[in-house]
Amino acid sequence: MSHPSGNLDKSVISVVNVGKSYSRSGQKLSVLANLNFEAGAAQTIAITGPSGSGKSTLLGLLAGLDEPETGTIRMDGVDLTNMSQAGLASFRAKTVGIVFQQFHLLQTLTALENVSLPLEIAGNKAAEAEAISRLEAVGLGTRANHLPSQLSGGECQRVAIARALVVRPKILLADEPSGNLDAKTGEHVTDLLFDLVRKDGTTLILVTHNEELAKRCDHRYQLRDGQLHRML
Amino acid sequence: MKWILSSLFFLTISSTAFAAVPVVLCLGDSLTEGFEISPDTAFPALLDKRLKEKFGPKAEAINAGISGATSASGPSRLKFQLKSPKQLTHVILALGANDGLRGLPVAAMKKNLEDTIKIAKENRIKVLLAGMKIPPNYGPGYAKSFEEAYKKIGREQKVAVIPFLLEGVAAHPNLTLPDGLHPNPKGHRIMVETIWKNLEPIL
Amino acid sequence: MIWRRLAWREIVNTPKFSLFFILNIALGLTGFITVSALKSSVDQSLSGKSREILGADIAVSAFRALTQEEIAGFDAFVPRGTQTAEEFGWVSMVAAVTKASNVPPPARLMEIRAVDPTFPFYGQVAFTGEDGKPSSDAIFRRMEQESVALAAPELYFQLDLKPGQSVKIGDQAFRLAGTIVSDPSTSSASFSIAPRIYIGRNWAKQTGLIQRGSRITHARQYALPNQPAESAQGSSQRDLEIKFKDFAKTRSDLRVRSHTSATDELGRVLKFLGDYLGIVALIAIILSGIGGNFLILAHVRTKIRDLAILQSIGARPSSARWIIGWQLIILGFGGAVCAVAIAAILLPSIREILAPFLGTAITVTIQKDSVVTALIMGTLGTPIAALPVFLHLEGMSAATLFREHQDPSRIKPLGWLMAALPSTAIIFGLASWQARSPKAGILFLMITGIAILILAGSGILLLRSLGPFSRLIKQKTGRKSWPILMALRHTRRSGQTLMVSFVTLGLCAALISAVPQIQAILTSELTSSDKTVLPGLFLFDIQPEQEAPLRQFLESRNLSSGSLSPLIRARLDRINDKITGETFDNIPGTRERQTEEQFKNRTYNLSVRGRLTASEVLAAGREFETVRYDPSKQDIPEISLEKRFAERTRINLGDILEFNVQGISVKGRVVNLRRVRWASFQPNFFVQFQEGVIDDAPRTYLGTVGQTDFETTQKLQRELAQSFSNVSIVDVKASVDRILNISQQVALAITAMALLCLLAGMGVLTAITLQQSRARSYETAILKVLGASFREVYVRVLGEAAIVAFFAAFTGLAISFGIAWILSVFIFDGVWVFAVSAAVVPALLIFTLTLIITMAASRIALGTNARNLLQSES
Repeated sequence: MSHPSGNLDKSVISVVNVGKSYSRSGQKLSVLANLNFEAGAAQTIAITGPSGSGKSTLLGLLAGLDEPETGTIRMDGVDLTNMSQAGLASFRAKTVGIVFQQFHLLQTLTALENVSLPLEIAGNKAAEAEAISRLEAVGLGTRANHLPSQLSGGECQRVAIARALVVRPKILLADEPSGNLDAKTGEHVTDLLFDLVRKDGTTLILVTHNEELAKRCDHRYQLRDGQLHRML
Repeated sequence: MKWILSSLFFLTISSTAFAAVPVVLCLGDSLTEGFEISPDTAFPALLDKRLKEKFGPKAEAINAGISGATSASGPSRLKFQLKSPKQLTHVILALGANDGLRGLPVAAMKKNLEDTIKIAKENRIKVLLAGMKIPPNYGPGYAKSFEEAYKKIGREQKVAVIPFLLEGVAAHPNLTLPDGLHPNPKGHRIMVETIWKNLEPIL
Repeated sequence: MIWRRLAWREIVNTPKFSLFFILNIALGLTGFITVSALKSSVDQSLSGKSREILGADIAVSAFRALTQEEIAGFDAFVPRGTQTAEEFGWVSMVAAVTKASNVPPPARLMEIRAVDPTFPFYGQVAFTGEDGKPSSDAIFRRMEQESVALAAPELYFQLDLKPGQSVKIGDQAFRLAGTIVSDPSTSSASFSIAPRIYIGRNWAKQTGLIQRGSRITHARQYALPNQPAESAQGSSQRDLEIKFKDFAKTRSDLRVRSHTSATDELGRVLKFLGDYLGIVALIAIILSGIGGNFLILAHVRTKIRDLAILQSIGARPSSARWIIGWQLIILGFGGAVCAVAIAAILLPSIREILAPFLGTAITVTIQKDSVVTALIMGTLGTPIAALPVFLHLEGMSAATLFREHQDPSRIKPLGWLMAALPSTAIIFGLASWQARSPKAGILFLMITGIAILILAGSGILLLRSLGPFSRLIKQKTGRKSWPILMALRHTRRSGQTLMVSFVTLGLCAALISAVPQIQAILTSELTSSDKTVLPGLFLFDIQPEQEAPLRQFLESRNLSSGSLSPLIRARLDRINDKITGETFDNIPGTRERQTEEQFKNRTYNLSVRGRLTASEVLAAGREFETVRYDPSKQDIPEISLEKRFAERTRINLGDILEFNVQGISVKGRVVNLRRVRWASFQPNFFVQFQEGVIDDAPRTYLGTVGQTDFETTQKLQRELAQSFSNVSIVDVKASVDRILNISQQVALAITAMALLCLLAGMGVLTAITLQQSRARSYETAILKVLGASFREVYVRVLGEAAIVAFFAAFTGLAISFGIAWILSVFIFDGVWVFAVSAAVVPALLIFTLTLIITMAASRIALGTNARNLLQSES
């Protein structure tokens, strides 16, 4: 406890003794218990685990969309557990990008508008130019003005990746990014994801069932009994 | 109703036929009925009280006033009253005001009143005819002939006539109802005096 | 303002949905604007008519001259710019001026009105000049200068005169300068037995008839200066009437009349119309409110996921809501603007349709305040309606986006109920303001609340009964009927969604079906069923011995004598053996002084009538056991009382009344209370006995003769004067026609409003059904993916829609009877008809419409690529 920051400064993500439980029909169900975990800058980390092991819960906590019951979460040197809703929002806007299994694009906005949205939220004046360049980076420069319903699944996920990375976040949270895609498209999308993350030096937390995909990461953890177990 | 009436006949047939006690029928219209006032403040009730004071409890004044009635109803209504077991001695005939207000022919009114008087005479009932006047707005000719009809009947039929039933009452706002036409209870107290003055001599 | 931009982007990117939404909002608001416009124009048209009858806004009169102090007192109440006029009125025997002076010419009773040159303030007396041609002379101005008169045609007939000749009124001769063709001031309440003749007021003195003892009506009339808004005028008019009446309170011989109270019948009709229009406006607002709320909530539910996504990319929860907020504001404003435009386009044609009935002078203009209200309602009401959903979102975490089986769009029933609360409050606030009656607002709040409870209750019952029902179908038909079974199962399991749509549909159905019912009830009262029985003439003072000859007399002239009703004067002595004097003193003050006095006097004109006539409706109790009193069947005679008379005198069914008929006591038992129809125009009586009870009592008869033409009437009058000199005739044709005319206009306005409301209701219903079909399309797509045939999916979707629509429409129908009944009891004087067809038709319409829309929508959904549907719904 004398100089905890010395060690933590190097970590982009630091999760200490985090616990989280849900109550289902009166019974308390512990999902995460005393979970500890660290990740450094530009590291890619895969988290695997069976369904219901708490992967989504962990992602929710890391994204600042949910609060832990115990422990602390520090992201990019900032303690999320003591932050206001406004602070968390601004943290997400600047520091974290999220890619969902189900893409979660706004159906009523075009690809370009979806991508430029985080920049606009952050108040960036040159939002559109930046968004176009990001769309081009994911190979969708020509489809900028299409609505999500006019795009294929793979294209949607590429738009989602562009949206997640458009603000150049320090951390990218990806939840089964290829889970809703066929094998070939999935591979293409994950290739793209890894390329961009490596290029930007982004810390990637990848939640997946796919062992092959997990192996592409620097470190692998398995979520079991509410705790992360390092896999070699 | 018929059976009620007939039973009444049988019950009271024995009542004294030749008593000197006056039983006065007030056969009239709204002025007699006591239009819009309590019936015990109308002149027949006041007259009844006075008769009883003078002639004892058997003396009586009967209110047979019907609002809106014209002289045409006189004969049949008198006949109806004659079916009653009461031995009528006098009738105050106070009809005609509505004939006048509706501008009906004076000649017809005169005939109706005369017919009524004849029925009374046939039944040995003394008649006091209550004279009426019509407001001047009806026009001088009509008002005059209307008023004179009563005097004429009095002369021709040899019956007593009150020159004007509403003497001292008509056109006095404090003695009439808001309609400016019908007497209020105060007005009826004056009317009973006018009637008494003319009725007493023939009792 | 990124959120506003974002909101706008969304609207532009989804033009179809935006248009759909805008049109829905517009539909409800159009209904509101049109109803307001129509209401105010009908109000205007009818209050104009009632003004014409009085010829002024307010008038004071007495059978004496008003004092200076009284005039100053009344004048102080009226605003600057008010016009005043005075008038004398009296009856007098009028004769022709003839050269031969030996025999006095025949004189007839005439009603003389001596008026100012400004007469009349409202309306116009149409007349023909001396040449017999329609004249537009300023005749009332001429009367100030010359001794000329304007007379009713009856006068010419009765005095055997022609225009241009002269009559003598009192001491003054007047030249007959014209013949009245139509006179709006022919009052409908006070039937006059004498033809009318107008002269100048300054000539009244010259007649010499205005003198002590004369019975002259002195009137002072006021015409208020034009005021911009009809509503403002309405309220100031009422205030003025109250002030006038307060001032006149201590002077019992003064009479205050305002145009609204000019006639009883008309006043009642107008009040009913006002109440009805208020109710329709209310229903229109509530319907569009329900529709709007439903749409907004459904829309916001689909937006909940978007809110979560926005949060996940760094938007604050509060600012994320602004996107939806702005979107709703923009769409709502668009809807309101559309509504104003649609109303502006629609109104001229509505005016065209109504012009023949309400008169060509009517103006149907969009009311400024209703436009402002519509804009506010659209722009702010739309997001406010969504506010509770936003509040509900507080508890929802964006973390659910990570879950594979997330259902962020789920709202608890309590949440939905909460969601309806603030918008409900707004709707009712607006509604009471629009109807200008908090009483109607509260009544409606209660009615709607009860209706929702009943619907929710029957919804639960329906859900419970579907299980056993589907088991039954399964047993009977086996697997073949899986689409129906699935429809049943789905209906049963989608409890919450089902309840929402069931209650919404049911409430719409109830309100929509209630409107034509009330319309049917009111129009059946307003319009006479058979025009031939309408009276043209009233004959009164027929003596008993004249009854038979008069009947013959009329029959020989082919005049239907209608009815001859006996009139028997009687005093009510006892109620249930209690002397009435004491009980009657405790009757609370009634409005009309005259009535109050009449009640103190307790003398009424009874009649004898064995059965209720067509103009009477049984309100309570039963008909007489026998037409004639039969002592072997009834212990005492039976009595029928007019309902409001019974209420005022506090006499109940079964009470025994003892009357004094010319000194003879007659007892009877009250066996029924009856209501007299407005448009009957037949003689009716407070108290009616069985036949054969008071046969001997002195009586006169009141007769009616059907409508005839002028010549016949005049001839009849002349002949009657010879044979039955005491029988007087009142020509009621003009009054009856006038009331009937206005009643029919009111009935038409009421029908038009009902149709409009029905149309708006159907529009709202369409919107709701389309929304529900959209919600079902996801499931439709899944079924298709699973390999169900087109037909099977179709049956399943329609089956579900049919179950909900059928039960909602008919539960709503049942409730609508209750609504119509409650309204008729509390607002329409207990007028009530079981208007089955009027209610069933809309209910059937609602049911069919729902099915047709669902069919169309599911055909479209089935035609679309299933994958697209699944994707857009995921």
